Amino acid sequence: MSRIVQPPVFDGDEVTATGLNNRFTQFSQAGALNATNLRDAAVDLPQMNTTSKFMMLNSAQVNLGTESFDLSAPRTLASYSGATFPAPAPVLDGAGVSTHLGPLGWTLTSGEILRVYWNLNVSPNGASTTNWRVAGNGGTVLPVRGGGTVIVADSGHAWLAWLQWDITSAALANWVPVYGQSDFQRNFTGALYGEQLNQTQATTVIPPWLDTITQVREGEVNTTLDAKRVGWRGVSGAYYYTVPGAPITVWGIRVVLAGLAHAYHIGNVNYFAWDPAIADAAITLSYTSGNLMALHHTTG
Amino acid sequence: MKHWTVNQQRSGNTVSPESVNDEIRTSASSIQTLDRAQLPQACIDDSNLELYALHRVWCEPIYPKDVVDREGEQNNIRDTSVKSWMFAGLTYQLYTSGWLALTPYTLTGFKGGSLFLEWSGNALVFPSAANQYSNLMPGVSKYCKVRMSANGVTVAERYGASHMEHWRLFGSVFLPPGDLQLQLEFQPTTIGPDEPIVSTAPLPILQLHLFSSKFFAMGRWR
Repeated sequence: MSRIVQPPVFDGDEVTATGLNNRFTQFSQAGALNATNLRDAAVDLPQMNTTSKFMMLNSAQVNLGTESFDLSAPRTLASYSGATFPAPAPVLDGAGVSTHLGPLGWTLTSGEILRVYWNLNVSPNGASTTNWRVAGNGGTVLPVRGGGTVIVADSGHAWLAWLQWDITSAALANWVPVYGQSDFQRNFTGALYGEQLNQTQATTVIPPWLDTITQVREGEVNTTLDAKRVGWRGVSGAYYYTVPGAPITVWGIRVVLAGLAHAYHIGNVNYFAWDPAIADAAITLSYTSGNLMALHHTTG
Repeated sequence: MKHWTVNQQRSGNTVSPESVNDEIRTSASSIQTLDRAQLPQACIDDSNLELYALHRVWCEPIYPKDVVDREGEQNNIRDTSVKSWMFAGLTYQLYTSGWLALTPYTLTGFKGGSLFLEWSGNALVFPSAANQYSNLMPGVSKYCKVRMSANGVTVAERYGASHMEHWRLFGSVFLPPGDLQLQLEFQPTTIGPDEPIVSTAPLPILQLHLFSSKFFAMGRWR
């Protein structure tokens, strides 16, 4: 039903130009029509007022890494070997400069969402060392058919990549983990540093090696183990932020890397813990090119 | 859209109530449903749109979240008897076969049209025992298959992670209006005939765990 409501003219009403004109202005003034006056598919791109942003508020993208598409000039990150926790390393370009989004200046408020997607070409190194076949931390001891035992990697080690942002200023000098993400620097038990899995909203795991058993038979290792490099592969990540509290202004977003962590649990709570037993200079992570993009839009 | 002018006014005509009322009534009745050819250009923005008039987003940055300290993880099967340097997760001692579903989620207020779904996360899969004496071909390749559906309609499904990996699944489907039941499911490879499921300790061997799970959904109807 139209919102245009006009009382009729009655016998005896005074006819004036003003009165007649007022009766027709409802057809032209803003606010006279409502949703029931629109036909299906009436609103399309030509009707959208694109001079003012709505729905899609902001978007940005940046190339990550060295942009060495033939893999000839990767950057290589060493695994940590200290007693505490490692500082994560931001993804750098070929000249050693940080590649990140920003300064952005996007203010996010209730009813809006930030979506971040990234990808990076990586190659974990160090599979040939096999010093990670350690009973307990990184290895599982299996019986060998005919006697003896062997240790196979348990697939629990990982390089970790996650997102940080700067919500302080355009100077981009105060990088912290994004909301719901940890820097894995908490001393959560004994001498172990890391974090619970419920703080990995923006984390991507990268396998450091692949250990295969060439044949198993009746629950036992029938032949040998074969440690393989994972090789060059594309890894990706995704993250959403839906403004659970007060508005914030996002100035920068970047990807950081660190390794190696390993799966751990205490009761029914799972963690990633940095593995101090895995220290080896041969265990590194190489990377070349990738992409980081962010979208800021309304949720309705 | 044109309409007949009911009363053409000419000089010298007698003005009557009917002449004015008929003309106004005709104009009012023509403004029932404007189509895109009648609307002015660049006339629509968020100042004259109802909430969710054109699109709606449902998003859980970490999901499921019904168990404290285990948000974003599969909580369907949690074997805590694995070694301490491992996740409490799915072992073949507690899992037989079939799809496992995360807590269902309702996408309320879907108005009919295009639905885009996206689900991503990390997974740990123990891949090492794929080659088994009693199943040399095709072997027992280890994967964490993932599938998402809305109201029973599969939007996308794929083989997911095959060891310690991140994965992302996305797709679009057209659906009629009404609340939608979102189903996020995963399925590990079923146990093989020669599977080593216990270490020499003896402790169960973790086969799969799914974590950092999150989803995003967007409905577009205009």
